[in-house]
Amino acid sequence: MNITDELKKVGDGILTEESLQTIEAVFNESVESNITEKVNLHVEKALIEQDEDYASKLETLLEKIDADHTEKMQRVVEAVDRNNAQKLANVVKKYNKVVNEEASGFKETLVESIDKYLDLYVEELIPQQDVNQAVQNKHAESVLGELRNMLAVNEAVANESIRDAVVDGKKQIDESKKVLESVSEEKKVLEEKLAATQRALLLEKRTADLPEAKRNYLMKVLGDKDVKFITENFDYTLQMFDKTEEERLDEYKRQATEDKTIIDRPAPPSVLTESAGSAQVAKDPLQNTYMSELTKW
Amino acid sequence: MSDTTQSTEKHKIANFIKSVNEKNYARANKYLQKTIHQKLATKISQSNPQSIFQKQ
Repeated sequence: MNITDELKKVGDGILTEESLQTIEAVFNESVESNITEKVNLHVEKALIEQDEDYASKLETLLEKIDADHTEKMQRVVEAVDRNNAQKLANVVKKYNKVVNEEASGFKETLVESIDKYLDLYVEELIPQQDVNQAVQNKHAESVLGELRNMLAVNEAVANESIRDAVVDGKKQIDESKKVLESVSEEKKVLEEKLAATQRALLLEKRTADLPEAKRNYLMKVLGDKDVKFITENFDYTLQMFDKTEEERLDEYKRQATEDKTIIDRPAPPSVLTESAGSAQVAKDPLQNTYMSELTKW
Repeated sequence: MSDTTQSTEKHKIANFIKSVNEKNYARANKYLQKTIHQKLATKISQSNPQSIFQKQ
């Protein structure tokens, strides 16, 4: 449809050709601008929708790619970890082996080497021959020192200037020793004399009131003992003597009883005895024994 | 040299190396001295002194 033909139909002869052309040009221009604006709008809308659609799709894609990459990365990390752990375990095993076997061997070798080096160094610095010589010298010095002591020869005695003083001193010491010995001897003799005197005095004092027999016995037994012994054993010795005497009297009594012969004779007249006498007899057991023996005859 | 002496000597040398490794030089010096003294003592004990009254 043409706008010029339509206008010609409506206003035939009213509008000139020129006006019609102008109206057609304006009409066309207006329609075209309108159409252009609408097309632009549609295109813009379509572009926006497309952009949003693509954006959402891209986001989904990216999320999926990320998830996939994460999963793959985790698998890779786990594999790398496992691999590294295995390698580390191998390294530890190897290290332990090295430490336990090779290191100990190396240590022994090193110690041996240093030991040999020190041996060689000491041998070079101080040869065995020198050591032997030094030991020999020390031994000789020691033996000579002992000999010097044994023979009483020392540096002081060997020196001429002080030899006289040393000899004089030795002489004085010898004399002092002799004096000391004689004094000791005298002291010993005096002590012995004192002990004998004390012993005699003590015995004399303790036996002064005793009968002659007891006294002689005690003198005989304790005469050569010291004062302490006499003091401790005097009473015991005295008791021993008494006991021996009693046994001896018992023996006499027994013998007399065995040897007696009975004689027939008239009975003796009765004798009055005083009670004082029997009391006196009862006091002395020995006397009582004698009297009882006499009554039998 | 007896086994015991040798063992103690090696022990001292090991201690010497250990001390040097730890940079404890005073201790290392002590162990080295002890080792040298023991070696000298061994050398001395190995020499037999002759009697000085023996004819040469």
